[in-house]
Amino acid sequence: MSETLDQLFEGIVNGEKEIVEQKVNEALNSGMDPAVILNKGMVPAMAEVGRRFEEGECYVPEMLVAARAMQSGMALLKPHLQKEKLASKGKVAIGTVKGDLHDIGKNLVGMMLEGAGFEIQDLGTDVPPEKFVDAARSGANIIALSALLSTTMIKMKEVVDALAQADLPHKTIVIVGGAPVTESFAKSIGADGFAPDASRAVSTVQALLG
Amino acid sequence: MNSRERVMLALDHKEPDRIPIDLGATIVSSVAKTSYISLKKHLGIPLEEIKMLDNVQQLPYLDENLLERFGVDFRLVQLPAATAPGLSIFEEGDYYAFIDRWGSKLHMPKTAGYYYDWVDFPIKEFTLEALDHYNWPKPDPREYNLQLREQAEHLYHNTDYALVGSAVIGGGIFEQPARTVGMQNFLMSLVAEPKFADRLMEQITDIYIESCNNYLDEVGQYIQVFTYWDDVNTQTGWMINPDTYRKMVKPKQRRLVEAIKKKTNAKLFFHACGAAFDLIPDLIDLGFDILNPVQVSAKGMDTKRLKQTYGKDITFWGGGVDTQHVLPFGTSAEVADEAKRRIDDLAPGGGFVFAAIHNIQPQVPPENIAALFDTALEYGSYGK
Repeated sequence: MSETLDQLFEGIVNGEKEIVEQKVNEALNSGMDPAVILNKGMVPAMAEVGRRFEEGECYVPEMLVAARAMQSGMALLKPHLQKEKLASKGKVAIGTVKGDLHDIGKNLVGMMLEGAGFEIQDLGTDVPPEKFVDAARSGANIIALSALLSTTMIKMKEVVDALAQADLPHKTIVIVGGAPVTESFAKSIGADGFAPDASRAVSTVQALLG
Repeated sequence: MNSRERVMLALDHKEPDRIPIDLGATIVSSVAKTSYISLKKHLGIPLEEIKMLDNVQQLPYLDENLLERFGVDFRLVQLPAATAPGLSIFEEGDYYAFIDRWGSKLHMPKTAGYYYDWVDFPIKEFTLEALDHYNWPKPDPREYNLQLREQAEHLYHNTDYALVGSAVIGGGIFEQPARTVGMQNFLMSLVAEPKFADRLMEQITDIYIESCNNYLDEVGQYIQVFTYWDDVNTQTGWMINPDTYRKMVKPKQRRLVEAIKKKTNAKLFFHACGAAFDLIPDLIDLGFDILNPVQVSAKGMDTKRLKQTYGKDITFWGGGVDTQHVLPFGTSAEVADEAKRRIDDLAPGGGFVFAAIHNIQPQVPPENIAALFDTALEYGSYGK
């Protein structure tokens, strides 16, 4: 069993989509528990990619191909996971704020969170505050805001304020990031968390959820 | 000492009478339309009918009264870079839109939009066949370069300004592929489809060489600075593996530089945002003379360290004030304080041109912009 999972792990880390698909099928056909495939093979692989990125051992292209390989494996695994009624670690609604169309940072954060087992609702780019509120109302417990520009960064506060006034049925965490965004800016607008890159967004969310 | 003499001394790493000052000599050291308008109002300089130089970044042509007010030592001799001549803007839902000369579509939100950004791309398959069938853009027709020649010749003989130009008709050799196939797709192709990525960059280089040759045949003798831009760094370091940069990107940049150097003696300016410290040795090796914009807020971009390490080999053009935090959100006094500190770090021995870091963005208080350039003029004297 562990050999297939090892190869799956390596396939994701190296961004080899075909190998990942092959190994997921192989594992499923051998009757392995889908939750084990995910939690022992795939999630640790994305965590390793994140570690390498943080340590400067790999760069954005390697992270992107790894995430692509992870996603293609997930597409095969997902139908089986639902049968298992596996609880997701949380639902993240992610988007760039109003006026900002720059989405690669947002996409990377989404991929890394997905790779860590979170459910992702991608709201896209140029997202007005009310759409984030709607997403929180319909079940997202983590709202992730991205901005590349100093001019659009200030729109983050509008989203934080709109969420605070929305009288939501559950606790909602707001994380922010992007080129001009700093820890102190995040605090000043009342966001719950900040991360300097996609990999550390995962540890930030995990720490906030406790 | 006139502007051109001042600039040439500074670029030769000698101290002129004062630090040369740039605003608007390049499409990466200018000011966005809305801030330009509020700045002119603040200074009491009459507002002309705005003509756009760069639609993507919303940069207007800057008028002489403003440039003279700030003591700007440069003038631009260049056509719009990324946007084709005869550009037409249309509406698409909540966005203004246009198609650039590479066939890519850009959007700017109608409300709260500040930039046009690339949203749809002409190359959708990452194969050599797709490149065979792609309708590659053509450099500008000769009459455009003849017009620029007339402008350059006039400015060269009738003014003392240092002249700056470029004929790179898109992003850099590393940037333009992202604008033609999408950024994520291009970055992935570097590791997953390297033959495709390599040929895409080679063909872009061919187009830039042809465009630069055509431009420099007419303008090369009049300009003092030729600008090129290519962002390969993030705010914390390399965007791609430096080995990938040196193997796949740098040889093409070298081919372009060698072509440019055959046609002009102008100093070569490289615009690289972000944490570019570790890129500088490559730029020196390629034959670039100038680094811009010196993003001081990025990792490792401390101005003292930059000057100590590479100050003898490369001119720093920019770094005047942190455009991301201090210039838009600080007070005028904080802006002036930082400008003085950057001048103290970067000015000694020449090799420094004062400019903000990249284009001044919308919503920047006009009093901060005025404080920045007034400080440069007053504090930037070498005491000669």
